[in-house]
Amino acid sequence: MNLVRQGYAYRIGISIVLLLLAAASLGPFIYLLVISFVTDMSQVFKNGIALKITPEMLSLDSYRLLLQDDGGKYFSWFMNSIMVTVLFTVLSISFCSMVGYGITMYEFKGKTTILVLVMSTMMIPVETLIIPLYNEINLFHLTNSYFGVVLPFAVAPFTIFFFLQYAQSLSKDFMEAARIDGCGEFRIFLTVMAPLMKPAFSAMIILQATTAWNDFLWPLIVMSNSEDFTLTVGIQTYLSPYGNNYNLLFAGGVVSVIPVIMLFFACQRLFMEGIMQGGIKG
Amino acid sequence: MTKRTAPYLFCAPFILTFAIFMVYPMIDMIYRSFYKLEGIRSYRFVGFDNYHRIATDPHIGNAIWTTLGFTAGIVAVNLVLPLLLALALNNKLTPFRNLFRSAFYIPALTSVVVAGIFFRLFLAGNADTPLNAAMRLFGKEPREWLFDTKMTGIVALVLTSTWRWLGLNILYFLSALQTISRELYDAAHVDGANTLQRFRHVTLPGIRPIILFVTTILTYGGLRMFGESYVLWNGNTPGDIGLTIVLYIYRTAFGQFDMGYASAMSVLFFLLLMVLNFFYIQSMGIGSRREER
Amino acid sequence: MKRLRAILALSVLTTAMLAGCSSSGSDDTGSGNSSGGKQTSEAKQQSANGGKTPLTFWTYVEQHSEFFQDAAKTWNEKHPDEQIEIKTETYPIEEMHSKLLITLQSGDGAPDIVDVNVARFSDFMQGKEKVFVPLNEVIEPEKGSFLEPVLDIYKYDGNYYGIEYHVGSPMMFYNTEILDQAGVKVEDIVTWDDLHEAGKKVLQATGKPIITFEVKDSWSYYIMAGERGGDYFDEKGNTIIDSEENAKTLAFMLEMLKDGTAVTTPGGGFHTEEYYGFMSKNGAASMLECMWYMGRFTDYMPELSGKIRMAPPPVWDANSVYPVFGGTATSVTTLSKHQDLAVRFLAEAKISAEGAGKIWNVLGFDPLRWDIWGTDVMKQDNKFTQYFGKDIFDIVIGMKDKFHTSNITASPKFSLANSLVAGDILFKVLSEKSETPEEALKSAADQIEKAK
Repeated sequence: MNLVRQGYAYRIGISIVLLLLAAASLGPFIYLLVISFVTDMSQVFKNGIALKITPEMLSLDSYRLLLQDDGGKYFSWFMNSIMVTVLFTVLSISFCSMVGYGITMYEFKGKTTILVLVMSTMMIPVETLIIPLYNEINLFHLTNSYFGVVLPFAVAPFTIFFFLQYAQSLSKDFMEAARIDGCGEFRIFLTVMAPLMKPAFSAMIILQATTAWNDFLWPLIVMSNSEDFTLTVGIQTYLSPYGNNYNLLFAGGVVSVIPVIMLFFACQRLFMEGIMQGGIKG
Repeated sequence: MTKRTAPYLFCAPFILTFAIFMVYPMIDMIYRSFYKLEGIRSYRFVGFDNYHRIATDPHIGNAIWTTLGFTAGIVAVNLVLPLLLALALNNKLTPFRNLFRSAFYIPALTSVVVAGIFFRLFLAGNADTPLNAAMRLFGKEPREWLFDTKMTGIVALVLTSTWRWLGLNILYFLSALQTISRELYDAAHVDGANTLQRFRHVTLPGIRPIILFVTTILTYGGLRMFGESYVLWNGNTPGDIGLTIVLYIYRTAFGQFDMGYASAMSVLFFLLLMVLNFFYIQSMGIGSRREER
Repeated sequence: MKRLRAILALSVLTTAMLAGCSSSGSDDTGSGNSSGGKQTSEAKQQSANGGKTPLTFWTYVEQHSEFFQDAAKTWNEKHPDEQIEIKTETYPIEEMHSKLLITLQSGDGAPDIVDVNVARFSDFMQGKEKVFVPLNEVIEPEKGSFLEPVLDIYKYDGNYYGIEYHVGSPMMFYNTEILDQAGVKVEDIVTWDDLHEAGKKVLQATGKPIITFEVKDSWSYYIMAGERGGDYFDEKGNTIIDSEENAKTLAFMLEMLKDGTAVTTPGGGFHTEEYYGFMSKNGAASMLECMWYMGRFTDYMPELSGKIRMAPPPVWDANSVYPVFGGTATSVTTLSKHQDLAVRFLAEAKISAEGAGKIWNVLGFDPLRWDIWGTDVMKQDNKFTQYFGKDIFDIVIGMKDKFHTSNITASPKFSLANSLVAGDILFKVLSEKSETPEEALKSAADQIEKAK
């Protein structure tokens, strides 16, 4: 009985705390959503930021504008973003899981060197390498192409590091067992070990997709024609020193979040299935 | 593929990318740090001039201060808060766990451009912004949060980054918490361990790798902070408030086309990070598998 | 395990499908390439232009892109045998200049025609190789009717490498409602000291400052200092940022801040949401900017319509000048494959009398072509004349002889100097008050010297 009461107290207490934090988390987002419907943005920014939004101020005008702007340029941005994101995510999680797994699960000459290199690349601020990188991409004739956007950063050290860390909780016993069954090393990875890292995969899919979707600086440098822009780059063009197009900025921003939210909810289910049904049974 | 060659093949994608997209640009960067861009394509050799200039540049100290302050802040806040929230969200007793988890993650999906604009306005100096209105309730003067002191600048950066990345860090911890076998908890429970003891002896060891991971990415993410700073201050950081090292390098390179100097700063920054990196790897023994079973 | 493989397979499939989609989509325009956008967009250009010469134009101002689209339409009507197809790209300001530099460096991908911000122009003019085409042949025949001080901004060794959109005439915008309450007349404010005195009356009568000073943007300070000959560099590019004129200007601003006749600008600059809100609620009685700031009033402060009166800015003494420094040059790059055509098109768009009229009526800028200032073209009904009245250009005509070219393009370190003023000097001297004018200016001069 006592335990049950404790349970209730916990539930109420934790709900309040979580509700408050969730409000802080979602507040700005909901606010952005609401003001994306405001017709006259100057009303919103009168005093830095307006909290009073009345129904009369709202309309679908911004969204209508967004669809019509420059012959529906927004759609091609949308398509480009999807392409870049899918390409980046698939390449990134395939390669990074391999590398992270390889480093952790094997003892080999040069292991420490590679590890140090991974760690070092992780902290190189790419912003400082943009000019030589661009020259390289240009040399490979990859400017204005999706691969130019994706390739230099697909094998991301962060992601390698994540898989590497994750693989540390895997047991080598499974590998040995599979070897005895006559499995090749790559097959072991693909069919035995990778499934054990499923939660890591789902987390990384979300993360890499978000990164690719929201990346700004590099796609802008690689893509020269505005119809080749990704969403994040395109949206940024609504800001200018001679006046910002807030209507398109916020409406475009809201629409641009929808696919990532959908992906998040899709992957989340996978995430919840979790590792319990996987391979680790203590 | 044999057991001996396998690790090299597994690592091949990284080695290739590293050689092509890191080593070459790095060499280019080091080379350029001894030159000065004059005009569009002509570089003039200046020896160590660019490096000497760093020593007397008054902005460098401020940039380092802001960067370190931000890193300390983001590590502290984003290690503790997400861990606690992940524990709560992993607890079967907590209601609406999925809903909350989504709620915390959604900010990470917005682009830094849009988020930055919101926070720029949220932290603006007008008396009627939500934050200043709250200050007034407590009888305090309204402040220009983004242009007050270097400290408020750092707080603004931590706030904006935490808002965006809290959910992600919760996810990291959650994915680790889920790998801890239920049976371990049950065993601890049978042994009579209380909640705190179970946290110390079962949970903490179980999520050790992820704590390391999160600390590491937060540290590196903090040290190379660029996006939020770039957007919040809109390319202009009066009194060096909000000026981070990478932002300063970026602005020197692209705001003033002072490529040589920017390269020299990058090289030094990189060396500094290498030292830190060495220390990290040494002290934490990352990569060596824990002996188990 | 099966599930994971299924997911991997699915994602690969999705990629393939999407790739398929995009390639079938671009088949319409004559390309089946699925691996990237490059071929696709090139193909698009070729099939779409049907004999027209393609010209690319980069800008960081959406309205400029519309302006050039419109100009291309006019051009095609007049030159049926020499059709052009203009492709405009609008980028964020800083990124556009980075991209321009990178493409000019690599020799590939640069536009034919490009907008360059005046503060960044000299960055592109260093070294022996010229990246922009001289525009002398189209500028010189029309020079007589153009405002030379503004043309000269982009003149290096006798060659014009860019053509400006607007004069950017310095302008004072007074809120007559506040001035009336204090019994102050605009005509009585001739010098800055007059303004200071008037400010005391305004403060007493309304409790409001007469002016606000920017602390994170430099242009209003640049105008004030420029009036008495202050600048960041001399004509030869020597650093004079720590000149006496500059220090005196800062000292004057400090004095006004001290007695409350001036305050620092909410949001730190004139192009912030905070400032628009502040001004539209009658926050201060005046502001100093360039003429094109009219657009900000019409777009962001509609409630002040009819209350704002434009006037020549106060001066220091009889020797004062009005510094002019334009804002955005348009240039033709030497990498362009159609240089001659691009130059002639640019001339018709921005130099012809018709083009100049559009610069005013479409963009709301004061065109360099002063021979049309007195004509009815400038009195046409548009949102600016509705807001500020019909006689806007009479004010500018009165100032014309005192215009003086700023040395804004004299040194490639201008962008550094400008960022030091906007990011360091004004903030530390006027807002933080942590450094005296002399200290802050000296420190900036040192930094610029070291960067040279």
